[in-house]
Amino acid sequence: MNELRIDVDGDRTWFLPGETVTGRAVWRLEDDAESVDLRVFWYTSGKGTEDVAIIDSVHAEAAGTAGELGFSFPLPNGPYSFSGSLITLTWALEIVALPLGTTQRIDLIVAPTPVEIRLDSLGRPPFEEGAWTTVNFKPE
Amino acid sequence: MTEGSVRPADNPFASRRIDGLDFRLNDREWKVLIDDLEARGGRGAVIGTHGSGKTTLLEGLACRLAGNVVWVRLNAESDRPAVTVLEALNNEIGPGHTVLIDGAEQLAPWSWWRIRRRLRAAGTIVITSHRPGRLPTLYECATDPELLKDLVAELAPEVVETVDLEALFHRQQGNIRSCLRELYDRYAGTGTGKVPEFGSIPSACPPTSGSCWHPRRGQYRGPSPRSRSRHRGHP
Repeated sequence: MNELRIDVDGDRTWFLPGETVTGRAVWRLEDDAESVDLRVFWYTSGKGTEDVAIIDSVHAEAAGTAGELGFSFPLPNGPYSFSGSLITLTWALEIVALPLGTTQRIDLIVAPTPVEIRLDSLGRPPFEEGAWTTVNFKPE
Repeated sequence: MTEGSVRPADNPFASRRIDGLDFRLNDREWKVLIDDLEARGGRGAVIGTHGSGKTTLLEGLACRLAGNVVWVRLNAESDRPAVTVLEALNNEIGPGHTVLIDGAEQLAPWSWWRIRRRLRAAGTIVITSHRPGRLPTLYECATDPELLKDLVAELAPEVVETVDLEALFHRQQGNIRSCLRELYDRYAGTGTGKVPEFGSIPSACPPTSGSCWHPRRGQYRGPSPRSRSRHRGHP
C-alpha cells in the first residue's frame, strides 16, 4: 500500500503570515516514483472560478519506492486563510509522487489568529429585502 | 455568512462539486455517442442552451476519446476568440489530435472558416454551440426538472425534500447551472445548512422584472439591444 506523509515540525497547523513552515515528507510506495514534489500553496473554493497559487516547492528526482525530503518554506505575508460568503481561501501542503499521481495534502491556517478569518464576523449590515436595485429596461 | 454558517468550501453547491458532476449517460450511451462521432468522420457539435450541460458532456468525451486532446475554452468574456483558438493550436495538428472547442458560437463566420482550415488534418473535432450548423449535430443537450432533482440528490440529498426544485427550474428557464448557483446562495445564506423555501431569501434576479441590475456582477441581465447586436456579430 502506498504511503505518503507530511510531518510538520511540532505538528503545527497554524502559522503566522511571514513565518517559516518546516518539516519533512516521507514516502513508501509499491512502485518506483520518478520524482516526488512537495509544495506549499493556497487555493480558493466556493462559488465561481477557483484560483490556486503555488508559493514554494521542493523536488526529489529518482525518488524510488521510499525516501524522505526535508522542507523549509518561508510564508509570505498574505493572503490570510479566510472564509467569506463566496469563497474560502485555504493554505495547504501537498506531496505528489509522479507519475503515479498519488497525493497527500494537509491544510494549514495562515492568519494572525489560530482559526481562519470569517469576513462576516468583522461586521456587515444585515441583508434587507428590497436591497437589490431594480431598473426598468427601455429599448432604444 | 454568520457565525456557524456554511463555509464556501463546504457548500455542497460549490463550483468544485458542480464541476465534479458527470454528464448523465451510461456506458452504453457513451459508446453509442463515440460511435456516432466516428460515423460522422470525427466531426461533431454538441448543441444546447446556457446551462444545459454542453461543457460537462465535452469533458466526459475528453476522458473517453483517444489521441492528444487540445482543449479550447471560449466564453462570453473571451476578448478575441479566434486568436485564443489559434494560439491553442500553435502546434501542428494531425490525425492523432482531438480538438475540443467549447463555446464555438463566439467565433465569427470568417474566423470559424479559418480555424476549420487549420484543423483539416485533425483526427477529431468536437465543438459546443448554442445553435446547430457549424458541424454535424452530435448531441442536443436538454434539461428537465427531473435532471435537476437527480443532480441535487447527488450533491445534497436533503435539499430535494426541502426545496421546490421544479419551481426553481422553471424560474431559471431550465438553466441547470443557474439553478445550482442559486442553491449555493440559499444554502450559504441560512446559517444552518438548510435551504429555505423560495421567498425567504431574496433571489439573485427577481422574476418580476424584465431585466435587472445584478449587484455583484454590475451588469444588465436580460434582453438588450447590445446583446442582440452581439449575436449579429457572432452568429
